[in-house]
Amino acid sequence: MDRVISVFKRIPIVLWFVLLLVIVFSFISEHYLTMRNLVILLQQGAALLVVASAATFVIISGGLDLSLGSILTLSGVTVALSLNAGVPIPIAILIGAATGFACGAINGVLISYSGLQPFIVTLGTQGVFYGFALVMTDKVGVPVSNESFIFLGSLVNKIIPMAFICCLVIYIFAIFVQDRTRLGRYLYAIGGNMEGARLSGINTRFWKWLVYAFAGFLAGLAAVVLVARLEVADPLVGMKWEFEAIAATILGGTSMNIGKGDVKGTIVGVALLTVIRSGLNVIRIPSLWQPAIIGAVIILAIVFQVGITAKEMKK
Amino acid sequence: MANEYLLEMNHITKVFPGVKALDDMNFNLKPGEVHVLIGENGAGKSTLMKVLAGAHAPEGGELFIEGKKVTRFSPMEAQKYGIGIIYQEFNLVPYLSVAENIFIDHMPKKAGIYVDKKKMHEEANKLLGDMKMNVDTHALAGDIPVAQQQMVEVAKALTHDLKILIMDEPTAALSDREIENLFGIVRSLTEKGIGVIYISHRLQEIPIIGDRVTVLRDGKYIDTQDVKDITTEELVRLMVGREIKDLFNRERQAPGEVVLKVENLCSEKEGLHDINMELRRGEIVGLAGLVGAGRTELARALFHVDPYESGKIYLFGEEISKNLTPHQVIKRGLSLLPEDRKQQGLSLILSIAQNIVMASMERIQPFGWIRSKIEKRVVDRYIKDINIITPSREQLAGNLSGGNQQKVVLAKWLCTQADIIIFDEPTRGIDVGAKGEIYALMNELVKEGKAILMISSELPEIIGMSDRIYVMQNRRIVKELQSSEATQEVIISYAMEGAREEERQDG
Repeated sequence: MDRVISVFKRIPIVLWFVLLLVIVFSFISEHYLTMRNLVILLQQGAALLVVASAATFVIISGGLDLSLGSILTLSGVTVALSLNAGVPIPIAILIGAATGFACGAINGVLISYSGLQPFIVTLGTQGVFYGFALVMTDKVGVPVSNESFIFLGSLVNKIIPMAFICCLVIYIFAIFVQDRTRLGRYLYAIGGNMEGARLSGINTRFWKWLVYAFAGFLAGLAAVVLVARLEVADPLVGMKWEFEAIAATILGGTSMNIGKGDVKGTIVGVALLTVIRSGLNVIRIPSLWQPAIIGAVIILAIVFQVGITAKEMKK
Repeated sequence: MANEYLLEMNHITKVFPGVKALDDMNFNLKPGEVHVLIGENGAGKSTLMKVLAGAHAPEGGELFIEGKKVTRFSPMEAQKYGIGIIYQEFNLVPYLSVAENIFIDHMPKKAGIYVDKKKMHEEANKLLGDMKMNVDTHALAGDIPVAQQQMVEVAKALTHDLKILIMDEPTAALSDREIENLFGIVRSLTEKGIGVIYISHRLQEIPIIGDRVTVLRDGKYIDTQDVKDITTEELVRLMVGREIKDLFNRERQAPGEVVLKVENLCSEKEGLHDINMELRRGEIVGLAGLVGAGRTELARALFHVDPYESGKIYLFGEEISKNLTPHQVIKRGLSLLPEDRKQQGLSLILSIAQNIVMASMERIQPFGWIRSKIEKRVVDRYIKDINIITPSREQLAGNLSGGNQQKVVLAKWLCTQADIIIFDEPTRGIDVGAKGEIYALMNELVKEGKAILMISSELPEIIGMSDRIYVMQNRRIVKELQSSEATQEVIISYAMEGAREEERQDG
C-alpha cells in the first residue's frame, strides 16, 4: 500500500490537473473521451511538445527564447517554399531544420558573444524572423500538396497520428541530448552556476550559443511536422507559441534562473495546455473568449506549479 | 559611574551555522576616544561591528548604550541610538549628487513633500566645510575620488545625532596625505565627545590615532590595552596567540623540476604588480597575506580566468599565451580549487557524480555522448579514494557537509589529472577532522610528484603545510620565506607592513 501511495505521490500535480479536466470534459460531452478525439488531441499537441522542449533547454541554461514561435513560422515557410520549388523531401526537411538552427544561432551569437540580455534579443529577433516570413509569403499561406510529405503529419486511416509519432521521436531525441550528451550536462552547469562552470573549464560562451542554436533546430523540426499536418505554411501560425512553450516548460517543473528542470516534465505541461484548448471547444466556449480563458488558466496553473517547485527547492 | 561608557558589550555571543563568530565578547567605548579593534581575518571584527549596527542580533550577552540596555536589534534602532557606520565598501548611490547622498534618508522638505534642494545643498556645504572639505555638493557621488567619497560617508553619518562612529578599515584605499586629513577629521569628532571604533589592519596607524586597543582572535576577546602601554610586537603576539597543533603531518622531500614559473606578471585591472614566483614538483608553496592582498587575484590570473597585461607564465618549461582560456589551461595540467566552494567550486543542485566529472567531460567522454558505465566507475573510484561520505553518488552536492563538499571539489580537479593544483583557502569553514583529511590528501599528492600552491589565511596551516612561503601585501609578493624561517609573527609583519619595509630598504 505504501508503495502505491509513493507512486501516486511522484505523479506531478499538473498531471492530476490534466486527468481532472479530462474527466470533467468527458462528463460534459460524450464525444470527448473517444479514441477519435484522443488521436486528434495527440496530433494537435505534437508540435508544441517539440517547441516546448526547445524552450525548456533554453530555460534550464538560464536563458529565455521569445522568438521560438517566429522561428517555427519562418522554418515552416522555407520548407513549404522549397517543396513547391520541387526540392526533394529530405532536403526540404533539412532546409527547415537548418533555417531553425540558423535563427537560433543568430540569437546565440547576440546573447552569448555580445552579452546582451536574452529577453531583449529574442524579443527583437521575434519581430525579425516573423517579418521575413511575411515578406517571403506576402502574408498569404503557402499550401503544400506533396502527398508523401503530407503523410508525415497526417492521421493515417483516421487512427495513426503520424504528426504525434514524428514529434515523439524528436522529443525522445531531445531527452537523449539532455541526459546523455555534453550539451545536456553543461546546460545544467551553466544554468545553475555560470561562474562555476567557467572555472570548471567549460567554454560557457560556446555552449550557451549552442543551446540557442539547438533550440532553433528543434523549432525548425517542429515546423516540418506542423506544415505537414496543416498542409499549409501560414505566416501567422507561430503567434503565441513562445508563450505556450514557456508555460508548458514551467508547468513541467522547470524553474527559471536556477538551472533546474527536465525536458521529461515538459510533456505534462503540453498535455495540460492541449487538453484545456480542446476542452473549451467541447464545452462550446465562444472562440473570442478562448484566449482570455486560456491565458488565465495557464497563469493559475503556473502559480500552483511555481509554489510546488519552490517548496521542493527548500527541502 | 552610570555613564562612564558610551557603549558596553558584555559576554556577547553570536553563532552562525557551524561557527561561533563571537564567543563571550566584551568591549566598551568611552566618549571622545578612538578605540582600535584589531585581529586576523575571521577574528570577529566584522561580526562585532554588524551586531552594533543592528545587522545581526546576538544570541547571548548584553549591550548597553549610554547605560540603556538594547533589546531590539535593527539598523533603524542603531541609528536612533546614534550609531553611525562606514563600511569598507561605501554605500553611496553613484548616480545621486553628493548632497542627496548625505541626506539620503531625511532630505529637508518644503511644504512637507518637495525636497528643499537649496537648503539641502546649503547644509551639505556647511557639513563638508566644517570638515575642511572642498567638494562640489552637486557632483555625482560616483564621480568624486575615493577619499572624498569617504568624507561624504562621514558627513552622512553626522547628519544624525551621532554618538558612536564605526569605521571599517577607513584608510585601506587612501594615500598618506588623505590619511592625515582623515585623522584630522576623526580627532575633531572625538573633541565633540563622539566615540570612534576604528577597525584596522595597519599596525603602524594605531599609535597615531588610537587611545585604546582591543585584540580579538577566533571570535574571542583577548585583551584591551592603552595604546601607549603596548608595543607593536606585543600586539602581533596577542593577535596570533595560538599554538600550532599536530594537524599537519607533512613528509617533506627534495623538490623536483620547476613546473610553474611566473615572470614579471602585471595586471592593471586586478592591480597585480610585478609578480615573480616558481613552483616545483613535490612541493607545497604557501601564499600568505591579508584579505585583499591579491592572492586570489593572482590565482585567477594564473588560471586565465582574469586577464593580465604583461609578464610570462611557463607551465612545464613552456611559455603559455596570455589568451588561453581556463579550458585550455586545464588541458595543460593546471587546476584551481576556488575559494568560494558554494558559488564557484561546485554546482550545488547537481549530483556528486556530475560535479566530479564536470571539468573532465572531454577526457572521460571523448565522443560527446555520455557512457554512464565509465562515468560511474570513475566517480566511484574517487568517492572511495578520498573518502567522500555519502549514501550515493547521486546525492546532490548541496546536501553534503562542508568537508565533504571540499572533497568533491578536490575529486573534480584530481579527475582532470592536473599536475599543478592551486588551492584557494582549502579548509575554510570545514571542521578539524575534515581539515586533517584534506591535509593528508595534499601530502599524498605532492608525494606522487604533483605541485601545490596553497592560498590560506590561516597562518598555522601555511606554516604547517608549506615548504616555501610567498607573502603578499598590497598586490605584490613582498617576501619569500623558507619553512624553517617562517613564524606567524614574521609572516604577519610582512603581510601588514611588508611594502613599507621594502620601501625603507630601497630608500
